[in-house]
Amino acid sequence: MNRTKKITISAIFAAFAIALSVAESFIPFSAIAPGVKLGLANVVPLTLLYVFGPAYAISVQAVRVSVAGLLRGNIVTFLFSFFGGTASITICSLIKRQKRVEFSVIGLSVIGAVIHNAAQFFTALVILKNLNIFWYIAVLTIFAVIAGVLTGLISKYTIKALERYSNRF
Amino acid sequence: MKKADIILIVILICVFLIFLGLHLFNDSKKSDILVIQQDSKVIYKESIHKDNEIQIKDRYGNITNIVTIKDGTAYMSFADCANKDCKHMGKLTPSSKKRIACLPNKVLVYLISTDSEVDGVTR
Repeated sequence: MNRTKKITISAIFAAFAIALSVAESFIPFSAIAPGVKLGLANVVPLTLLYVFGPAYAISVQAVRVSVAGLLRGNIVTFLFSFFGGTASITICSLIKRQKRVEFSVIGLSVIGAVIHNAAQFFTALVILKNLNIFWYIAVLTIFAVIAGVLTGLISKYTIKALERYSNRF
Repeated sequence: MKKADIILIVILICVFLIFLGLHLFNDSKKSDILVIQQDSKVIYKESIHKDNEIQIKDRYGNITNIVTIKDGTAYMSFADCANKDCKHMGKLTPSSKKRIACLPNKVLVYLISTDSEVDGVTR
């Protein structure tokens, strides 16, 4: 597949990821515990990481968090999404590259979800300058593991489906 | 799923459950001083048993949040943000270990105990 095709398909994926982010914001996951989210849109960069490689995955994630962050919320929430989103996919790419410990898509998705949360949480700590809320990261991480397994399963089947059709491109 | 995945998930869940457990069962003394913090500055510090309604304004004078203190409980009764997480966080009581945070407006509401000298704010 040539580069133009890859970029075009990545753009479609970015649009799809933005739509998923916006759709997900209508589901009140915060009723479970404040800050908890499923993170369906993270399926897109994770899938791209396997199909096209890290450069496309990180760019699509950066576009996704920038647009979705600006669509809803103010500059503070934008910073949360931006640091969380880009940190998570960058570290996922690095972990996928090393060959010492091999994770499947699900393991990588869990790592991504936990890092996404942790990066957002540390951004919150920096903004609020209050260590009183530090324990809350435990609640967020436990839910992140669950969300990571679910989005990992979705990514696994998406990657399978894409690989089946990729010879038609 | 590979073996490494399962080990990772089990370790993460265990470590953070222990962390959460330590927090919940540690130091259960009652705290009844309500502190409201905006932009990392303490703007209100009074007993939770004193009924009050505090309007939190941004630097342009617009009201961003309202904290209502009534009958020894405190809750966020108004927020101008999009997701309203802070309103879903429920009520603070002297025995609960909750905090109410409104991240878009950088507002944090929490309780400290009467005898503690440090207010927990790092500068």
